[in-house]
Amino acid sequence: MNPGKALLRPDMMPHILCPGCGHGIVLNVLIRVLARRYASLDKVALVAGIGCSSRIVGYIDANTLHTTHGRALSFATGLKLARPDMTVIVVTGDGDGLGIGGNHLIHAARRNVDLTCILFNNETYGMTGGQLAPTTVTQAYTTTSPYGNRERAFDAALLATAAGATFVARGQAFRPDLLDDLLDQALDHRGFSFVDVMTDCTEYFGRKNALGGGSDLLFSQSRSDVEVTRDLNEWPQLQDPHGFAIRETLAMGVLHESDRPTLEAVMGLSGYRRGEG
Amino acid sequence: MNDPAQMSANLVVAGVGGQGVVLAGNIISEVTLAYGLDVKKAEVHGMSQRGGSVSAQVRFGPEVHGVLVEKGRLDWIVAFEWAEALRWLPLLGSHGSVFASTEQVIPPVSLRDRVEGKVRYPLEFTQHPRIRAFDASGLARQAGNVKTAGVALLGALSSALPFSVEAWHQAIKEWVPAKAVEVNLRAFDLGRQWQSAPPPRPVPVSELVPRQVWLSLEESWCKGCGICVNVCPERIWRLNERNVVEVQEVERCTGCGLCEKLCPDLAIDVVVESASAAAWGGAKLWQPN
Ligand code: SF4
Ligand code: SF4
Ligand code: SF4
Repeated sequence: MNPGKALLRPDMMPHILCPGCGHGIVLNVLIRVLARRYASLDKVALVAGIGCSSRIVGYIDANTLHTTHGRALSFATGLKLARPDMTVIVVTGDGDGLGIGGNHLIHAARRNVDLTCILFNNETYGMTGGQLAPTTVTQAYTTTSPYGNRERAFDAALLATAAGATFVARGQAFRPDLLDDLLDQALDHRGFSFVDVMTDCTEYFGRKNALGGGSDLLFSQSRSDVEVTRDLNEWPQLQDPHGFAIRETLAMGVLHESDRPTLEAVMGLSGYRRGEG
Repeated sequence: MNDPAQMSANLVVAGVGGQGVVLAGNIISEVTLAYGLDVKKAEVHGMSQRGGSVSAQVRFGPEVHGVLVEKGRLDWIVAFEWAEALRWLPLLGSHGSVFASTEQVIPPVSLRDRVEGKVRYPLEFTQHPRIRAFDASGLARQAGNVKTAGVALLGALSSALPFSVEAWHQAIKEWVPAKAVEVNLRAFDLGRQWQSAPPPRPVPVSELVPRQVWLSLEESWCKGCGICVNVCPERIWRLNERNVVEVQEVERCTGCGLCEKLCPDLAIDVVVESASAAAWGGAKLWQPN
């Protein structure tokens, strides 16, 4: 039984995500973590941008803010500085957080605001029709790369680490318990914590790349490296039968952790404490 | 049984993909061949890429006909993995015994809860009088490479068989890559020296009480993606003509929780206690056990 179900807005369910969409699994994990950590969500805010991933905050009965495309982190930074006593969680996608809002991500990481950013990384823009995203792996097909992507993908975790995030982890929908643990650690962390969650867009990414739907696409994540590692230098590629690196092998687990004063602490904001909800 | 050239026995080497089960079967076969025995070997390694079960049945003796071991006729189980030993217990003969590694390899799709769901078995398992479980990986690390755990188990097995150490060493040399011979021989010797089982873990009585599991489905939320259908190790779920899942053979549910955790639509609940199940307002409730 998932105790987090009590946190859902029942009138909003079932959610709008497509059948088998990995975002639903992340939602499943997220509400479980929230229910375990917080007796009440009164002091928890979920801030989202635009996209399928960002939609999921609407299903959780917390303080939720559905903002403009790519700007979730900016709203969240403002919210956190105004209400440092709150736990602020940002839910964003790869298109939202790394494409449209890439600049906000690096600056939020640089500032080390005490936020937790969960980036749902399905390697495509789902809601707008499956376009090429900065995270689409080389060779993958999307609606805007009908001959295969010629560009190199961002490694969101490396980017956040380089920009100064003090906690960086990667999980995947396929391993809900690992993800559960990583979200827990990210929420424990004081400072900017970033969790890159590999998930699946069945409707576009799965279909365009003939990776199958629902469980087939989910199982294709099992090809990713499970090793919980801190070594960011090893990024071997996996090839699909046609020689395309459709699913990269990515390191999972806590990839970076450091200690640096948060912006709230530096600014000496009154009422700032580690938000426990 | 003391004359190695007249000895006959049925063995199974069990483990998961990548542990070297097939190699171990080859080494055992090689040893028995060196004594002029007849040997037949059968392997099963279909799902090994996903950390699935791999096994090698080895039958040897002055003359061997069939390749597969009959129920109750198994003399030895050599298990590289804790849970894999359990699968073979029903085949074990009344005088048979087990050498098992305490290693637990949790398959990628399995979750902590699944281990808890199975917890009763591994605990009974240490108390089973004919099971000798030890930390083969520890010995292998001591030998210099954790990958030699399987050979350490063969070392333990060898102490119960009448074949000479030299024959085992020779077989290992023939089957392992040249650069790994030394470390494998060390692991074998450590395994052979291993004598006493670690003290069994105490078993809290509550954990031996069968768990009550209920399954609940919110039909109106299910989008028929089929994830639960394919992820359930017991194949409990199936899609019906309305493209919504329903249960079949629900009594096989172990309460592992995989379906609940991987359902993107939050449609499934696995309720593991009777008290919470009684208070449950889920749309559909099945009581499997
Ligand atoms: S479009 Fe893709 S990401 Fe969006 S809900 Fe559908 S499957 Fe999920
Ligand atoms: S995983 Fe959930 S949505 Fe998918 S078929 Fe099963 S119950 Fe339905
Ligand atoms: S139906 Fe039971 S056995 Fe199957 S995945 Fe769900 S909890 Fe596990």
